[in-house]
Amino acid sequence: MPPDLCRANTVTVDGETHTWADLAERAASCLAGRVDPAAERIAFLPDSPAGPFAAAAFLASRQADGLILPGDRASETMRSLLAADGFTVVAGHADPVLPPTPPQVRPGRVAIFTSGTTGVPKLLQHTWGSLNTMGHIAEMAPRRWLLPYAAGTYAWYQLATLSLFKDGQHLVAADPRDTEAFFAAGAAHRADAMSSTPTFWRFALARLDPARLQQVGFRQISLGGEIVDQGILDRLRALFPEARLNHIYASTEVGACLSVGDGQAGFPVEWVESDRHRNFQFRIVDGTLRVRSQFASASVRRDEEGWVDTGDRVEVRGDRVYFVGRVEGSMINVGGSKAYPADVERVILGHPAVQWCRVHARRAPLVGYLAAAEVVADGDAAALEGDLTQWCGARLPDFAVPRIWTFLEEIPMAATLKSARMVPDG
Amino acid sequence: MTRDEVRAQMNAILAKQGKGAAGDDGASLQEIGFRSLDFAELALRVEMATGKILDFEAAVLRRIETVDDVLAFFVEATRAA
Repeated sequence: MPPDLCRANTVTVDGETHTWADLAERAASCLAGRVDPAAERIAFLPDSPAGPFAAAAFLASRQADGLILPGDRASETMRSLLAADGFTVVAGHADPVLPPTPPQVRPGRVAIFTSGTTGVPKLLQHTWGSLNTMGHIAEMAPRRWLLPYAAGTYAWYQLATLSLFKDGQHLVAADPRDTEAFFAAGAAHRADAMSSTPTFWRFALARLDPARLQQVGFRQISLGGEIVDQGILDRLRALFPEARLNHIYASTEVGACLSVGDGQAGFPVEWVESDRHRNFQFRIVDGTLRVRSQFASASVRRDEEGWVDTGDRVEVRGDRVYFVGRVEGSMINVGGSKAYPADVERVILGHPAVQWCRVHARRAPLVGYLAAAEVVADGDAAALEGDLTQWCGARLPDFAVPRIWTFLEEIPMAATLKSARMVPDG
Repeated sequence: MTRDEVRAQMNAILAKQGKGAAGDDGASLQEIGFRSLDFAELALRVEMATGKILDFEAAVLRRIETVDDVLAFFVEATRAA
């Protein structure tokens, strides 16, 4: 059974507050006679900030088979994939574009494009049930979530679903690229919770005075989408000492599984091969994390016991499990010695002048690869190169010390709020 | 590349590690603290500066022990490319 809609929960977009009931009604009247949810897979490509929320309200209330993708993010590749998968494309007030072949409609199915950061975008299948990862939590404090995520991404659905199906969970959506206006909207609309990435927080911390950030009375902060390092946890703890601070392991493929609330990076090793979590289990095989989760996409490949290989490399250090990067392309092989970018980044981020960094492999003669780093930092680049080289040299093995440093003016942030790749690997 | 250009790159690698410049051509690499990874970085920087992929296979076979060996090696490698 699909969960019931919390029709009275609200979404505030561009300063206007709507209930989910209003949004569902608005979408239904706009689409009346144009699409048939019983016979069509509907891809909404909205062009207004409120459009994705109206589309979500429509899809959830009708248990339609659909997808949401803001029009400005819909590449030609994505549009071709939609046509091939039998979607009727609805963009603004234009006539719906029918697919070349009739679709197989499955009520309540929600398709999501993966972010494409690890390759070509893929369409993965979820349901409102698999997206509703917090539905099983009996008691949740009422919250007003400041929402920075791009519509149609898995992270956006996490928050949209929470508000659609959990009483007392409201959304305040604003454009995260205008950091000042974003946090001002949070303060004006009394947001008290936010889910975002470590890169987004670094971006905000680099641009705004801490006092501006503290104007939003955060009582809950969730981090995810990227490896969450101790440095960012400590900064946020210092900035918001009263807030509940947790980090989440989630992906479009396996869903949101892990929530760690002890303020420490990584997660406790006793959670591996354990039945303590009702909805998911973890296993480590050959250094990679496997997850068995009821929130995984229906289209993700599982082994015969239901385990999904996440492709995320982990290492057990003491009593914690730490994420060290993706299996594909995350390791830097320097003449046979192996360095993990996440470990090097942790050290660089510990330098007081550094706001952000990304470490990657740079192809090099004689040794195969050398570590290279992109950095956003305060100070003169030439002096910083020496300072950072010596900082890393004192804390890392020689082979892991970045040899090529690129200093950027501003933190490069992708639409997913994750670190963008300015310099390609290899 | 000229010897001076290679030397400048070599000194930049040493300087950012807080080490002194390779002034004396006869100095051994061990003495000045120029290690094998520094040699690999220098090779990469020479490639970046010349915009060419160079053949460094000879470096594996050749004895490179002094500053002069390094300078001569890279001058020769870039000339051959």
